[in-house]
Formats: sequence, C-alpha cells, structure tokens
Amino acid sequence: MVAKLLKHDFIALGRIILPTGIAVLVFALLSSLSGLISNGNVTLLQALLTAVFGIGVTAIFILSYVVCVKHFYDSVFSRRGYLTLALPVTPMQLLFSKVLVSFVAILFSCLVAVGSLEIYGLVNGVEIVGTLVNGILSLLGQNQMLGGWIIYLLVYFPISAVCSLFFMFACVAAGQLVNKHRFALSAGVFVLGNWIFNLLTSLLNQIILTGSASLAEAAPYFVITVWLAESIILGVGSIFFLRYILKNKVNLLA
Amino acid sequence: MNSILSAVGLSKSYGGAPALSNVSLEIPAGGTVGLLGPNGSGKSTFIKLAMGLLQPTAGSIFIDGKRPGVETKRITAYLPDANFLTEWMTVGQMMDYCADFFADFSKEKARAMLARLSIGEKQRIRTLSKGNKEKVSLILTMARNAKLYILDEPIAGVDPAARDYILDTVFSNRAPGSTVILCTHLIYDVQNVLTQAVFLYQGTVALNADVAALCEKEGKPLDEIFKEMFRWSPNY
Repeated sequence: MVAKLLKHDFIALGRIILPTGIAVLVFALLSSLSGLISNGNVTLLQALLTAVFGIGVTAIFILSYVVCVKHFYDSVFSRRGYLTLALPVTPMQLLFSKVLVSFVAILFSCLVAVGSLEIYGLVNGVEIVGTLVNGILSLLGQNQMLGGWIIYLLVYFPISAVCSLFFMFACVAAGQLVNKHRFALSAGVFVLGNWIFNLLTSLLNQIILTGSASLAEAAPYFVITVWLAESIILGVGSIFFLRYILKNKVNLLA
Repeated sequence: MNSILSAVGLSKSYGGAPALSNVSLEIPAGGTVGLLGPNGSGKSTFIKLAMGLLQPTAGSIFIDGKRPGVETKRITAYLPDANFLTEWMTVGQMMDYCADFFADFSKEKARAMLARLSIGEKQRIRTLSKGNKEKVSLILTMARNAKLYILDEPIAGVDPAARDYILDTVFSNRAPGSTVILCTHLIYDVQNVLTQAVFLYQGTVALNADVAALCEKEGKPLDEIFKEMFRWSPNY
C-alpha cells in the first residue's frame, strides 16, 4: 500500500514541480543564450529573462514547500480527505508517503537551482558547480575541521529537512482543532512553534556548547549531533501530534 | 444472523455538546438499512465513527467484528456527503486511484455505469457538472464489491430523475450478500427499499425495527410513522 501511496503522491506533486523545474532550466538557458547573442550589450529581453530566471530559482524553493504543504492539506484535511482517510492504510503510512515525496520534491528543486546555475555558467564559460566541488575537495584536503563540517552538514540537512516537513504538516493538522480560521491557526502555530523552537535550541546550544571556545573551533560531529538531536526532537514531536490529530481530531469540512 | 455493524454504548460529544448518546444497535448482514432522522440527529457522526474518521467519546463500534481501521476499510465502501473527487484528475485517473487501493474495485462495473451516463474516462473532474460529480462519486463507490456500503445522504438535493438513477445504481450494483446503509432524512424516497429502519433523534436511537413488520403492525408507511414520531417535537 505504501508503494501505491507513493505513486499517487509522486503523480500529484510531480505535475506541478516537474514543469516548474523544467521551466526554470529553460529560462536559465534562454537567459544565458540571450547574453551571448547580445554580445555584452544588455537588452530588455535579456534583462527580463535574467530577472525571470533569478526569480524562478528563488521561487522554486518556496514553491516546492508551498506545493508540498498544500498537497498535504488538500489530500488529507480538505473534502478529499473523505477518500484519503477511507483508504485501507495506517496514518503512519500516509504520513511517511507524504513526507518522503515532499522531501524528494524539495531535493529536486535544489537540483534544479544548482542545474540552472550550471547552465548559466557553462553558456557563459564559467563552470560554477565544478569550481564549487573542486573548492570543497581542496578544502577537505587542507582543513580537516572544515571537511568534517561539510560532511556532517550533508548528513544534517536531509534529516533536518524531513523533520521540518513533519513540523509543517503538524502545523497544518493543528487547523483541525477549530471549525473556522483554520489557516490562521496553522500559520500562528507555525510562527509561534518556530519561535519557541529557536529560542529553546539557542538556549540549549549555549549551555551545551559553552565548553567550546567558539562554534568554529568545536568538533563538527559534536555541534551537528546537537543540532541533529534538536531537529529529531522537533520531528518526533510533530509525528506524535500528527498521529493524535489523524486518530482523534479529524474535522473534515462537509 | 451475523451482524455487519454493531455499536455498544456509543457516545460522541463535540466540546461537551453530545452528538450521540449511548447508542447501541446491531445491523445484520445482507439487508438495506435506513439510518434515518432529522438534520442534526447524529446520522453523519455515527457514520464518521463507523469509518474511523472520528473516535467515540465512550462505547465502541464494530464492523464485521472489528474496530474501524485498515481491515474494516478494506470491506467498506463509503460515499460521503461531500465531493471527495480530485478536481485535476480525469474520471479514468480517479478509477485507477480507487482500483489501486481497493482490491474489490471493478473497473468493468465502473465503465458500465459511466457508459450509461455518457461520461468519458478522459473527462476531467473539474469539467463535470455538480450533478455528474455526485454520480461519478456514487459510481466509484458502487463499483466496489464491498461487504458493506455506507451512503451518507446520497439523494439529498437531487431531482426525482437523479434520485431514481441513484437508487437504481445502488441496488443493481451492490455486491451479492452485501449490506447497504442509507443515511438520509428523505424517508419517503427510500422507504420501499429498506429492510431495517433506525430512527436517530437527538443522538439517541428512537426506533430500530424491521420495516415490513413495523409497517404491518402500524398499518401505515414508514414516512407516516416517522412524521408521527417527530411531529410534536419542538426541536423538529
């Protein structure tokens, strides 16, 4: 059943994320080519394409989060929820599918952003991604501490992104606690929840990391383990809240 | 006779306001049951509890001997009182969706019912009229060979022709030996097809009887009995 949930969630998100990603890549190409054609003179078309490309790269990140959250709300808590929640699947299977597909959508938007920068660079004779990777590899060789940071960050970001998705879905689910102003409640829980989480983690980080002379000097595995633990606590708390709402407080609109 | 649905002391409150109070009933397998009552009597709450969309404040509800969950959802086809269709999908995609999740979903049955309405599988849900969306929802529900069909207000707000289509679709497509629970306040329209009637009133079971025996005993049709029962109620 999870495979079927994943299939349908991929179809639902893919129909928006894929064309958007392709559009951003096309604009990256058009924008770069227009730069070549104009021989250095900035034309209105080139300025426009570059602006659209720039906005597109930024927007695809925001869009992917918005689309993921909206898909979660629409399929579970809108009227479509009558069908979704009547499917022979457990709430955890439902959540797992939505979060995994959302994570892939966000990862895809990251790849599109990197890819479009690479296209822009390649057309203009600059290898942006290659230079970046070479730089990182060189840093890894020169500075083990920095290399450690990079490796640990590569572990931290995916886990942190998944936990953030669970938190965002939990905020959406909080809207089920009221009959009116659901969006306002979800947005309020998101803002307040983030503020409290950041406050608590800042305090915790200060206490736990006091022994280190500075963040830069602290062992990366230690700092990032603390960050990871904080993210995981947020994610697990969100999962429990989501399960509670899905089991006890579903309040679908007629 | 085995009961397909049973409730024992079932209660549900919303923020202290009771929607169902101590409801106990048994619905035997194989019949057509009318879950009847005026608006706000607790019919939809009862159905949502049966589907696991709500949790009871007290008591229990069982479908085929099991609490609502994955197993009961496999054998229950549910038509809610809301448009649950995904607007961007085509009718065919909605069929694929249902067929993927419900092993008892028959595409052949669905296609036959769609052909009767001249609705194409490639038509987008969003392009369908409100009436056709309701019919497609019904088709997706009745295309299943389920043990239990729960239909929440299937004939509310439809014209007589559509009502006849809906009732005909339900009774000519239900799986053999299955149970149909029709939840409605339009008793006159369904009284001839019911084998059992459950009257809900203010969250309690006001009457639970075999329709043929009740009508014979009272010497009047079901809707007359219903009207007499609730005529003098100040809340109806």
